[in-house]
Amino acid sequence: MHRRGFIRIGSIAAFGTLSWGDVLRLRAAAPAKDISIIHLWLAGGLSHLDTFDMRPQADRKYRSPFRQIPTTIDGLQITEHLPRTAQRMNRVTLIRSMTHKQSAHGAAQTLMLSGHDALPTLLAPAMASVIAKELGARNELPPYVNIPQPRGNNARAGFLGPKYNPFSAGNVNVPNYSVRDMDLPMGVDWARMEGRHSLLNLVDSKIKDWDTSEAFGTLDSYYQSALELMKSPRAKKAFNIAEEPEKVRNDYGRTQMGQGCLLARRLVESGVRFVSVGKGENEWDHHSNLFPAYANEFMPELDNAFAALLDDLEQRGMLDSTLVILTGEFGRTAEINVNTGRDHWPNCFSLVVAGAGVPKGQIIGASDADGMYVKDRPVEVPDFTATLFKKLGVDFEKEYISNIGRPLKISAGHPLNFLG
Amino acid sequence: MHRLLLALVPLSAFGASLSIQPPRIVLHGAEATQIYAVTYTDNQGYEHDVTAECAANNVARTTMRSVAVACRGLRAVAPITVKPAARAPGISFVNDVSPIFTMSGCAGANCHGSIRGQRGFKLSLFGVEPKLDFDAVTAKRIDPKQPEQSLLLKKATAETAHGGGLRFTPDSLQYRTIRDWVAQGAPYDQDDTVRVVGLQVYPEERVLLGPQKKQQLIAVATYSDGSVRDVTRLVQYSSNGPDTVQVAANGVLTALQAGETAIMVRTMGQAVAARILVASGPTPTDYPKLAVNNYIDDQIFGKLRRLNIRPSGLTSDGEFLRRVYLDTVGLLPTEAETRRFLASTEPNKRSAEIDRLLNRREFSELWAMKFTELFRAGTREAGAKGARIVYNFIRDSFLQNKPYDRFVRETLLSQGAHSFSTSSLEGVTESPTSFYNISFDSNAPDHATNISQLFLGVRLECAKCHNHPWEKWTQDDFYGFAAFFARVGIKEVYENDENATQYMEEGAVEHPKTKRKMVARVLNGKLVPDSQDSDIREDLLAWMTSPDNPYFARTIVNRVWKHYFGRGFVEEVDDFRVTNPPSHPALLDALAKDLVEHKFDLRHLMRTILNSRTYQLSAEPNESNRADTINFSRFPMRRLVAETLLDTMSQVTGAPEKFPGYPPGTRAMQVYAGAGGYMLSSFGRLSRDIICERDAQPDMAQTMHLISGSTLQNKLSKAQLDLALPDDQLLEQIYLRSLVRLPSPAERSAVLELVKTGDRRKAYQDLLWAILNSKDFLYQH
Repeated sequence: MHRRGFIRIGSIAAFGTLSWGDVLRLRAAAPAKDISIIHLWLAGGLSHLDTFDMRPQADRKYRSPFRQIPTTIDGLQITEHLPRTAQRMNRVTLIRSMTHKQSAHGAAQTLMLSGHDALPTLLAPAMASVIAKELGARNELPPYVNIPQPRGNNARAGFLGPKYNPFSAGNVNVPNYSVRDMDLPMGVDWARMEGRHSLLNLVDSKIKDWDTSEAFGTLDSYYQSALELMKSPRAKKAFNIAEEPEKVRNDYGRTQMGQGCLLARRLVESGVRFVSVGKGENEWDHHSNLFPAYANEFMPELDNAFAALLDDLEQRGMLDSTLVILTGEFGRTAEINVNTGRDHWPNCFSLVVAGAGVPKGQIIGASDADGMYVKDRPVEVPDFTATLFKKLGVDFEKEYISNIGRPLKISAGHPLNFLG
Repeated sequence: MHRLLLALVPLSAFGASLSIQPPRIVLHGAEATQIYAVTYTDNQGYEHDVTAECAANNVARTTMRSVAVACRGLRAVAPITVKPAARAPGISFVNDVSPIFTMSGCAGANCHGSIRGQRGFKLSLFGVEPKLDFDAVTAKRIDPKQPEQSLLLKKATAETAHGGGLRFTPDSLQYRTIRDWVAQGAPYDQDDTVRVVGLQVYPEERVLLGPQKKQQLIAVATYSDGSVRDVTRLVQYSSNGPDTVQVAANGVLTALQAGETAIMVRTMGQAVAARILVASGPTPTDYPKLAVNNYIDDQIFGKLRRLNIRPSGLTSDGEFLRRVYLDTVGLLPTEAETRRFLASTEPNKRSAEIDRLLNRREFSELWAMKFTELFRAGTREAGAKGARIVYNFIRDSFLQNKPYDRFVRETLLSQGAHSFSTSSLEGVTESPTSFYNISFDSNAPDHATNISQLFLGVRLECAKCHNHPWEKWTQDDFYGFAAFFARVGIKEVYENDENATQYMEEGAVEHPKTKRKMVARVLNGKLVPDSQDSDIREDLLAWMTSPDNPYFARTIVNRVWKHYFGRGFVEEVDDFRVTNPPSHPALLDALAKDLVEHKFDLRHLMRTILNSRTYQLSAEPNESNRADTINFSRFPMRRLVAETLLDTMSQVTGAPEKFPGYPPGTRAMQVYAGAGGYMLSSFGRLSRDIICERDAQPDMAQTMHLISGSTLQNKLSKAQLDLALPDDQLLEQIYLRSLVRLPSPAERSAVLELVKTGDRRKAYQDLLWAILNSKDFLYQH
């Protein structure tokens, strides 16, 4: 009944220790072009029904007061308030069938920025933070810059740790713009700063070896990187938007998005991998008075920023290696509410993407008669983010283990085949 | 009986002995087998796996009643009970085949167990739905006529291209089991309701004496029909610390380096853990005799002794004073307080200082800030006013030394307007009614998530969407717990735009799959039916705060311990589960018991911790404890929290911070709502969108802000420097006020040199910059 051979059996560790993660790591990442991303982040939610997917025949309750104008794609019309963009639609792909289920800003932004559903157990890293981790910095400039700054946790690195958080550039559209804390304080030159630094080392001489948890080493490396960045002529130049000719600055528009996009171009030119450009705190959340706000401020600002950015990247030969994305976290309701605004609508919305080999003049998907639901070719967010990772050469099937031990693939989506 | 093996016992108490694991063997039917391990306990109390040695001696004597082994001159006996076969003969899909998918990693969340499956083959996560798995497996993946040609086997052995690679070889037990089951015609169990309901691992805890030492783990499952079975080779083993201890698929552990880890053992929705410690070697006879202050030290030092780790020495008076001030009141001692303490020759001066600090108002404010953040107060409609009420309620609770159980009770039962709070509870003036209003659509499942995590240290929320993969929590548990809050509602009050929390007339929680209305149920316990005329949260609270509740007291003890040591016995601090065992289970239990016996007096708990020698150890590592990060063998260093950092910077420079919307003189620790400015948010103050512990890791933005940011520059330019003092005295004053120590000779001469060669005020500003950027200042040590 009791077999002695059972007491000890030979090790069968040969397979027992090879995990799925190991298998994935053994796969070489596909070679890809060194692509950067500029994300025009319309936090709050862009109304597709007043911009890229209008319904001029709709009932008055639904119909946008804006007119449509022809574009450089035959048969495509968009809002009259994006005239420069209309002239450039033959250089972009317009997706009219983005869809998801998150109707609250936080959860929808998490999904759009990370490609993962928001879960209370999971601080999913933003796509840009994953890119920063997987591809690293190209030089002393940070790999991921957020203009003006991330809001909440969803543009941050989550469980990957603060090392991959975005570098905040602040509001660029101010006189004498400079980055926070990048310059030495008034009255302190580098000689004095070095004197201070050697005093600091003296103060720490007793305890410098006490910590073994690596935090000390990390802190030292941050001092090193911070001082390098502060000293770097390349960084100084990249952030010095005042260098740009008046004509260029005005072409982008003297607005947050306009100057933000111009700075984004300068940063990408200097080696930054991912720049997010926004207007701040859910500015695009127009539950009331949508139409005058769009006509007078939001549309001109977006139109000039986006058109100038496309032209500028093209002229500089950067468009083939720079992906430009324009989207909010969801669209807005077909029905106009009592405050003449539109509310949150994730079931169907539009997204524009250009550059880095994305087909030009392409329209993907379609919404139904009222623009409320996807009629044709739904595009899920994880598939879109998987496409971006693939384009950048990030092994998106790689699996992270979250701080609480939950496994998470970089992307659970399947790359789309129509984005080049 | 196995618990005897776990107890921390004095080393010299033992004579050598021999034992068998499992200590009792139950065999069902003639086919049943049981792997066993033999343990030799030497006269120092260390245990050794001598199974192979005993086997080699060929001394096992097996009868129908017992197995006996003799080894090293000792003898051990384990009784055997033979029972009738529990199940029909042949291979069971549910209990033999299905576990293979878990143990071989096929049914993991990253593989075929994922929601989408993998390449069209989907298994249930960790085998919780065997019928679905059976359907998936028998759909074209097996070939009863030629079992070896089954796709299932060809994939798993990597004979056919398989994204998951080789899972097992054709000569393995897994292969044979599946092949033989296919050959039997791949039947499904006639009764598939017999499930694993319990899992036991032997040994549960073990110290391995140095690298390369081995240990066989034994796993025994209990089934819902009452039968037991050896599943040592049917479970999945994984090491939480594979650099410390490696585990093979047959349950054999190999120590790799000194340290400590848990080995998880899983099968079919059940999981247990064995705690494995690796000592650098046996404790030498010259191991120092350590002074102890209280029972904390007995436990901490007892384990260190077993691991042959020598703790650091006692911290100096100056270091102690700085440490205990920062940890209890979030401030540095003044120069006068420091001088007085250092000069005192009172033998009990440390205890006396601790008592004084625990009664300062700033102590209550520090804990108010901590809980305000944990409660995520001040988000959404309740806004700053709601946060102020919550903060004041917590602060006043600490000022009154309100028992923790009462504090939680008042919090969970509070109701009324969020911003004009008056309480319906007797003796409470303001109550944190916005506790339930964390987000605009807060509902019963949200409350279940928050409350279980905050007060019970249990992360139930995985079970909101799926049965917890590593724990026993199911969706039934989650929604049963949520049902306690079914009637908690937010009433919209339009007149003044400030909402109220109410216990509604009715309300129900539905199970998302079965759509059945849930009856409230405490974790692992009794059902509490809703009744119109009572608030069933009372029943929940009675269960939570009862002295024998296994979660409530331990969770707060763990949180408080983490506050003082930067690390809980259980980490993450709110993630208690079988597969995440505490580093010092007996001490956690003892502190929890002490807290209950002292009627949940948190000051008593804190006083005990602060008076322990463990808390008063130096942070300076020695050769023996340099690698230790979890046994509290020295004071663990950690960066000061954002508020303390800003407040002490204000203290050192004499330049207070201004917070918009708060009166002048407000300290960061009193800023109850909002981000509180760039410095606080960039140093980790949370936005309160989610429950989480603060991240104390440094980052680039913090560093740049310290180097050249406005916070420090403003303070330096306004720094109150008594330039009338001679340099020697001014220097001492600055050092005592900031680092609570005197400058070293090297520091003294460097600064004096700087003063001589340039602008005196500038030189002292440079010194302040260096101090405020130093690890000596930024870190608790």
